[in-house]
Amino acid sequence: MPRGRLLGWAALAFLFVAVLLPLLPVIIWSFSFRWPYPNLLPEWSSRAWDYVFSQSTMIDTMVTSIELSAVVTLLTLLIGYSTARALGTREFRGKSAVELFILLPAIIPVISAVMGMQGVFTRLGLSDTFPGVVIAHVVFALPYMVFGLASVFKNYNLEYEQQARTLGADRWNVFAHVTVPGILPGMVVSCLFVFVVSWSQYLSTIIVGGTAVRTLPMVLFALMGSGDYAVASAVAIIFILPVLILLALTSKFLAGSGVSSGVINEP
Amino acid sequence: MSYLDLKGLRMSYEGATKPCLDGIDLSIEKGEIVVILGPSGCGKTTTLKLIAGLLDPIEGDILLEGRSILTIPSEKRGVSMVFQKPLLFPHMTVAENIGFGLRMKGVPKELFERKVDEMLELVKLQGLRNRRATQLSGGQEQRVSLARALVIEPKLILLDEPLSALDAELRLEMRELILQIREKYNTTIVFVTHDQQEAVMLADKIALMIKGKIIQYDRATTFYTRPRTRRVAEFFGWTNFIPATQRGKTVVCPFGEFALEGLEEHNGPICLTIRPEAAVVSPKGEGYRAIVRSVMHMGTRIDYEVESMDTKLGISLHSNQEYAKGDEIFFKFVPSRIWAVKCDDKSVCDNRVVWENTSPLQLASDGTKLQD
Repeated sequence: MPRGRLLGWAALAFLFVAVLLPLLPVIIWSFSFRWPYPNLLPEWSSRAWDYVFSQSTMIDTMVTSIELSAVVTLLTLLIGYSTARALGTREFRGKSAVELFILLPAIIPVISAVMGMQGVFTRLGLSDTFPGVVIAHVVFALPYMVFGLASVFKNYNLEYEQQARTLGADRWNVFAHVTVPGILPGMVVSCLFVFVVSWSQYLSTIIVGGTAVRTLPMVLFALMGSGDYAVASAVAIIFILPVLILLALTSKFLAGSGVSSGVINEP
Repeated sequence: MSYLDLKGLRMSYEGATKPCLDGIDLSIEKGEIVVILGPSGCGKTTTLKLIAGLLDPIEGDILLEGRSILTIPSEKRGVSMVFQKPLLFPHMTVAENIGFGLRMKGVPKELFERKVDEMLELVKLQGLRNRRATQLSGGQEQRVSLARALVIEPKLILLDEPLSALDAELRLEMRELILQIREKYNTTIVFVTHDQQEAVMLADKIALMIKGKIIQYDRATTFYTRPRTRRVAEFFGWTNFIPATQRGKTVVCPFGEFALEGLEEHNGPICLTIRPEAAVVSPKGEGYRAIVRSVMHMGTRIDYEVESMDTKLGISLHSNQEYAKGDEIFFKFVPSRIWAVKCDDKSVCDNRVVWENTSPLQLASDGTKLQD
């Protein structure tokens, strides 16, 4: 089908232009010494990368960021699972009200919500601490986990679990051998999504964490403010890398399956 | 005390106005195949899920081997269920699927392998041991599903319309397999279907369920000889319904008086029912006189609608007995093909000819017309 193939290539070309092209200047910048107008290409240099790799704080920041996002993803999964399952598999009175309530953190401007949060956190001694930042991130990431998983559960056939029970599987075994394998692809996608949301948090991290918790976006913002585009670009690329690596590792779950599809679902 | 006893089971889903099960009593002996037959939405599957422990009744009790199992969780009841869909775990192989229950029991590897092999042989799928569950055909899937339920040697196997998605040939194969399993393992089987043919094919006994109640529970053949109500009679091919009056054990109708063997004593209006093959043509002048109103050729037989004694009557004759519309014929009845039934909800019976496969129950099971 040449026509279908043509459309495929067109879509790929569009994706390339829309997603990768904006990254191109960043890559070029990171290898430049200066890039003054009207030069088409900059004066090449590895200055930015040398600088980034020579900073030991860079590694620390990276580790903090990864730890933070991983903990947030895990907590969000634990907290969001039951809610998502209920929303995806059941009908009950007031369901849309509950959905709206869960969606709120994604609607309300982060800055307003964090201001209020910070007031409470200060009193509880959570401000300027890692757990405080974790809680703030969880609040903003939760809607993505709940709605991601809920759409997985919408296509999930609960009869598989009933089948397993009549074959002698207790609750834990049903969960481990039937539920988790059944929703795994969708669950991985939801986790990836939440990881990225936490990974890119800036406002909530800086307001709640202050100077105590230093993540990559904070470094990035500082560099951009300083006007050294070369170093900022190098950090921006480092910022993207872990997400790309995660994406590559989980790609087998992503292939052919959107957020909405688990393995066990209705035809 | 039977092997399995359902006592006054009542069940109602949240928000429903009518109970979905309205007092179910059923006794099943060990090694029996009992079919619960009824239109969709009558509560058959709910009954199975109650027995399996996947739902809890609001009233009543379930006794297995004389002990109530209501408080025992589903996974410990020893009751396995095969659903309408095969529900094979897609991330497992055929062998892993069949052995799932054994794995849950923590059976040693050697025994596990041996039992799985035995099951594979039983369902004739030896070659597909390591095949992914997603790479099977519909019939194979259902066989694996059956083997998976059987391998744990349950006290009871519940089958929820497992044949409905299969074509005619595969259904026969599955039927053979189910009968073979009963013979080999003396397994007690409760089977649910809306298909009358399927029920008759498999059942030792049939429980006919309509709107959450069991209308009749008898041996399969009894439904053809002694239906209890008009609806049951219609469903099992009784074609003619004629208003009549019962006096003691005798039924009086336009065709005279019939003393029906086995009929309960009763006084009052009743519905006389006659199988279409009950009429035998007699020489001119003998028996009842009838005028042919319509003719339907059915291959080996011809279905006629005739009028006799001011009553509409449907009769089936062998195809060598050919008559045309308006012809006059004389006939007698074979007494054993006449029966009297209660009229379900209505107290008065109307004269009607109901050919097979057009009964209200049949229509309801197709979902086209679900009413009383």
